[in-house]
Amino acid sequence: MSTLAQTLDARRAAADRSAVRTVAKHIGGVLVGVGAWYWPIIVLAAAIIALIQQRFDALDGSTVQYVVGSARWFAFSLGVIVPLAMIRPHLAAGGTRRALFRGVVRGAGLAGASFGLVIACLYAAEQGVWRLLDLDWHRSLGLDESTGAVGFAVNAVGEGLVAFTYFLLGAAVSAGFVRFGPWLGLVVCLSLGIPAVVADIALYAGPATALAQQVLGLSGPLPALAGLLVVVVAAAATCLALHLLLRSIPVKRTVF
Amino acid sequence: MFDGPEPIYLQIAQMIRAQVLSGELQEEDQVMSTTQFATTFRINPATAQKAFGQLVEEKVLYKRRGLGMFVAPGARDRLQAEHRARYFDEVLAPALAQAALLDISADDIVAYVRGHRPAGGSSAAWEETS
Amino acid sequence: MNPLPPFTARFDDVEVTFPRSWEMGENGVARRVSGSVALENITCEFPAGQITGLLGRNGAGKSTMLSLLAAFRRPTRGAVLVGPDGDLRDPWEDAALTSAVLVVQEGGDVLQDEKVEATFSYYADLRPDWDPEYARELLDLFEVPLRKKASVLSRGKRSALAATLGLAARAPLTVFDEVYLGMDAPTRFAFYDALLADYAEHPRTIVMSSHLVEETERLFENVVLLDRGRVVLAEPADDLRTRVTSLTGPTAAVDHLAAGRDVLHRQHLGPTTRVTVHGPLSDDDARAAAAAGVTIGHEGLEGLLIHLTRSSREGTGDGGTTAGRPLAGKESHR
Repeated sequence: MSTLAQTLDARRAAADRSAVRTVAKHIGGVLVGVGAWYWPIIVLAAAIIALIQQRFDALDGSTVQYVVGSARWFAFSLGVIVPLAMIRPHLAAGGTRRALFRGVVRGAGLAGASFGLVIACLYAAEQGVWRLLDLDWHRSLGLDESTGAVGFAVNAVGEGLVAFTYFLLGAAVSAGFVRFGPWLGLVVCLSLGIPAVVADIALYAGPATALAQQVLGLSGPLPALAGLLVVVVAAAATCLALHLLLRSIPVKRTVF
Repeated sequence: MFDGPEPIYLQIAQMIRAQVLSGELQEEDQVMSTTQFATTFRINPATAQKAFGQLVEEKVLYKRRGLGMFVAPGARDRLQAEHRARYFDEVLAPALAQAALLDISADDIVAYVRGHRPAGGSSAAWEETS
Repeated sequence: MNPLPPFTARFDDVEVTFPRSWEMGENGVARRVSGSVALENITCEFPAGQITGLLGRNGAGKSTMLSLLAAFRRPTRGAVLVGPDGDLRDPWEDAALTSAVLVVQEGGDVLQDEKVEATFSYYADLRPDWDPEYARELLDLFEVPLRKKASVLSRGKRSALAATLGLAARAPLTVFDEVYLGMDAPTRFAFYDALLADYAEHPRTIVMSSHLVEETERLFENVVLLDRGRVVLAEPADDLRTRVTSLTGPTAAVDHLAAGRDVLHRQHLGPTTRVTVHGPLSDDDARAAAAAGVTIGHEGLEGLLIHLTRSSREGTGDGGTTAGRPLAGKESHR
């Protein structure tokens, strides 16, 4: 092997690594920048709803559950905007599509992890406040009412996976439009939405949970895990779709 | 600079030759590097390189490794000899042809030349060749 | 990171066709774009370590051709190869090559909604040969503000930013695609100077596409001329400057000299005729011209470009009409 080939190989490995890291870092930066506005507003909204309900004596269980539902759409819109804006600069800066894909998945992971943690923390905090006020905490949406460590884990992982899926979905939708134009793009997007809807149903309506409970006769945390498993599959499907869409995406001289 | 019709490297070589002839560049003087040349005159460094290559071949310049290009010893003499040889054919002959067209007599021309002989040390050289 | 030698870029019978497609317009509204052939039978090379000018009119396919080098898209047919001499490869999805080939297009490919410094750190991370200090120097030189959003910069400043990215990345193959657009004259010349100085110090392969021929031609060692998606010529720049010659003088004498040559243009001014011919004149021709009172002028690269692209476009009466004609014309003089 010549030294030139060795140099190329070393540079390829290093360039790939740093490109993936840079994409993820960039998405992380956007998440921090935009999240600094978004999450305080969410907390404020939950507090205002609670105060209003309290005022009319209608406070009944969690109010956080009403506001955190928007988080996935927030993740979705970030997924639409951020990777799309990066395609051209990323390729021009010398990155590959593969590195962009990996970085976007990693960035979606960051979004999922941070969203999951923040939402789990919000629920935990809400439960604490409710306990202080001597109120009974429960929620009407979602498959699991566990509190404590189990509840925290289920919220963090479940909401995290949903945010992850929605972020990737957003990225896939914009890539679909870039590749296929508005009409075919719309069809692609609608079919792309299926895994996300599946993830949603699995987490909230809980058919997978019910199935696990009633047909398979599982109990304890296992039915909830079955629901999460479905979410994982949905996330993986979205990931694959994004990979296929980004794999050979051309760069057009257009201003977005 | 270098707006003439010939390829730029020829124009550069010509400029350096003229500088050596006029004494603006003395023997053993360092000439600009290709980089300085390129940035000063906003030309491709390879073009300057080509000009230098030609001048090295003509022994007007020589290269000192790691230091740059210098005017070769005896460069001025060689250039003078060469230009002197071409002077009659390339400069004087067309002027005389023009004079013939205008009916200017040889005596008038000689008289003019005697009156306008360049001053100083070079007049001796002038006398020898004429 | 071990540095790489300057890259060669080769186009081997490349064709690019655009299918009928949709594009997102500036207003965010999608519009239909009809299909077209952008490049046809492109075979040429950008030699390693040299500055090559890619010239041609607007819409000749320059940007499309250069986009292939950065793997922004794939050719419909043929091969695009880049790399150190003797080891040319397809740059598509090969990070070793894409991180060593930089195509800077007008306006620069920057993170629009972020501060300029975000784009800088992005390039710094992805470019193995990036020189941060040099980048700072250039930003100072061009007075580009780091802390402003890229999207609010003026066109000239965006071009200056693009030029900075292109120079500071020190990529073994660096392509400037009409990057000076919007720059004022002093900034353009500052850019040319910086380019020459840095090129001399850090040899690499540079390609500049341009239609400001007069201003840039002396930077070029080679010239590739593109017209309507085809390569019209690819030759050392010095050979081309004397390729188009004008003969001015008495009509009979001019006609005699021009006989048998490829006449590109003819102009009568009373008894005087001015003819522009394609192809070099020999010393004998020059002497004959001087004797007959005919003045010889050179039209330079700009003249050549105008004549070659005009004749191929409009098909003047005294020649063929295809883009290949000027090459055929050249052969007829041998």
